[in-house]
Amino acid sequence: MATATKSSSGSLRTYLITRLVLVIPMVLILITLVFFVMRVIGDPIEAAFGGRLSPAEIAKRRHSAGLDKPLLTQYWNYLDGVLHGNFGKAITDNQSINHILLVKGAATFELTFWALLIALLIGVPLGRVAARYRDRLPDVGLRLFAVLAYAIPVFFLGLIFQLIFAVKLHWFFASGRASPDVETAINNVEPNTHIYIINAILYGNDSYIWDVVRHTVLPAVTLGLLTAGIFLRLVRVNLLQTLRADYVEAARARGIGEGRVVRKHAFRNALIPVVTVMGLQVAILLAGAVLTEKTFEWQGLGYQIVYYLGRQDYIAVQGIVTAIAVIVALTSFLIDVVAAVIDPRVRY
Amino acid sequence: MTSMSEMEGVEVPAELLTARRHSRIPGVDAMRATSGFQRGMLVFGAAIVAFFVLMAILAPFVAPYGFNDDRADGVVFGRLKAPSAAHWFGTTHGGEDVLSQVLFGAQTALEVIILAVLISIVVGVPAGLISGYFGGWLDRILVLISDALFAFPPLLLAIIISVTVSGGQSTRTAGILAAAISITVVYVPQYFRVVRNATVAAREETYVEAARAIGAPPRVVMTRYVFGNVVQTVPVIATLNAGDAILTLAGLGFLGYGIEPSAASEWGRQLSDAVSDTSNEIWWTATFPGLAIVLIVVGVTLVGESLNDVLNPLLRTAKVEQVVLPDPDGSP
Repeated sequence: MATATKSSSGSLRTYLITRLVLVIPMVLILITLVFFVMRVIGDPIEAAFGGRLSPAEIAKRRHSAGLDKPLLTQYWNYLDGVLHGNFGKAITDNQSINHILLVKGAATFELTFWALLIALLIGVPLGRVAARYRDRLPDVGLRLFAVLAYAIPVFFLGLIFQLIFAVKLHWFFASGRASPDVETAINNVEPNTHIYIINAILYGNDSYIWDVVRHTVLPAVTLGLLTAGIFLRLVRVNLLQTLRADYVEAARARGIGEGRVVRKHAFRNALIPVVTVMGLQVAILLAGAVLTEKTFEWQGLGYQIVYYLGRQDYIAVQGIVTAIAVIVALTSFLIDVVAAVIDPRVRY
Repeated sequence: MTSMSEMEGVEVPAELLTARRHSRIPGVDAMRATSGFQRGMLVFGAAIVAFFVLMAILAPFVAPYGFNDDRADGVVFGRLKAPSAAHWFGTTHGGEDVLSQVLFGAQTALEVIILAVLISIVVGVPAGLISGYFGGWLDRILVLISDALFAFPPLLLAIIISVTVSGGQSTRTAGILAAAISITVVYVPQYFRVVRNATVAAREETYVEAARAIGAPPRVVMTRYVFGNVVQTVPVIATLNAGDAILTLAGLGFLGYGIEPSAASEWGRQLSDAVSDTSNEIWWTATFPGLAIVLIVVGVTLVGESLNDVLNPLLRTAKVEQVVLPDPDGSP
């Protein structure tokens, strides 16, 4: 995406504005796609209540949901609602989608935050080691780790971890975000951030904090380990390419040792493309979160979208998909901003 | 390093400098271009893939039981039996043989993946060619759509399409086709993007201009001149995507989408059924289908990565590089 605007010359501000404007069609396309795909499947009211309610009652509900209007009018109304931050109400449980997005979004954020942190802490240093010792034993081992991390489905690793660390050793919990009593207690904290670790800290009870941690470790490590493999490969390949640059060769020619060349000359520059590609990884991380959330019954956006899809509640699915599209588009925008700020070459 | 050895005038065996003869057997050229660890990876990966293809083809003959059978010759297998001589991989909570399910799962995976990759190429490559060659508003719109699809979580995309195309289809063929189409949506943008960009670059080349100058219509220019030069990366993408597609298929199955369990055996679905077993310390229902996924994806990825390393000049480690220069200091 950055390439589309790379050629446009101008200041940082022009670049950022162009980049921000490009976010809009991307989100619009996804909303449109999901809206019409969902309408192809069938009538959501019929799917939710068909057979349980009288035809008259169904017609009434269709009318109140605006589903008896022409398709394009519905589409327009939906866009209008989204633009004003109103996603409507879920058909199955009549919950406000905005509320679902806030509560479940916080859960997904908590999970992906820890996973991303673990992935960075493991993936980046290991990628550096692999590039430094290219084609030697550490590199071979780490590349095999990266291939394995890619090949293991997140739900399989999750099940294995559950089997070992939850069922056999009882170190951590296999499912949920906190034990039921803890969950009730920390949800009464003011202000309620819906991020359990923060809520637990605000509540100030050590055993509650520990309970949340013991629930978070397995899903976060599972998702984080697999993402670490991606980061390792990214860092390795980019560092290898940077190590071929003339200025690095010049540093070697001055007699600087290879370790110092990697550390002082190549590593930082190699990280710039990595930052950009990480923007794209957010989408992959979110997809991984769907499976991780399902495996660990972590009630976030991914868990919820699968739940509503199973009940054919397309208003809810539509709302969550739109939210995810916005998150992905904005993250990739933010990442491009960061890249532009740290690397002037992107702007000019 | 390569440039250094050339500069220093180190003698390089002549046969390495002369152009190697190209083999007509696919893969042999790639084999020759590799060495050491890389060749090992390629061979190892290819062996795993070959093993699974064999498993898929021979599944009906080597599987001890049917994937849906819970009894043979009137004898019920029993539920959740640990691995034994009669059931090497144990039995599921439905009382089916896990080994048979894993074997038939290979068949399902192979069929879906081949279909998905083929459909992706058939849709993505021509779209990329046309979009890149003609440019204009069509090109802009297609690029925008493919970017939007590419940025969206791939699994969610596959789920949404799967819900749309597979509504209530219970036959094996329909299920496999539906799963393949759902997966296709994820990968079409990749082929489209690569072919489109290559076409845009090739469009301005002299040989294309020459073809236009002698009056070749766009269709001929695209199929006879541009096509051959832009499809070279497609095999690499296809191989790498195949591994990814297996994971997407398993993810769909794990979430309960994709093929009906009675129609075909599928690894992701097996794992989904095994979730409740793990909390009772039953390990075999999850472990074996899971290992099957890991192994086949490792195999496909190793092949794809090696091909990528060979074909991507930025990553290539040429054989010539192995030359060790005498060090004036004598230090390592």
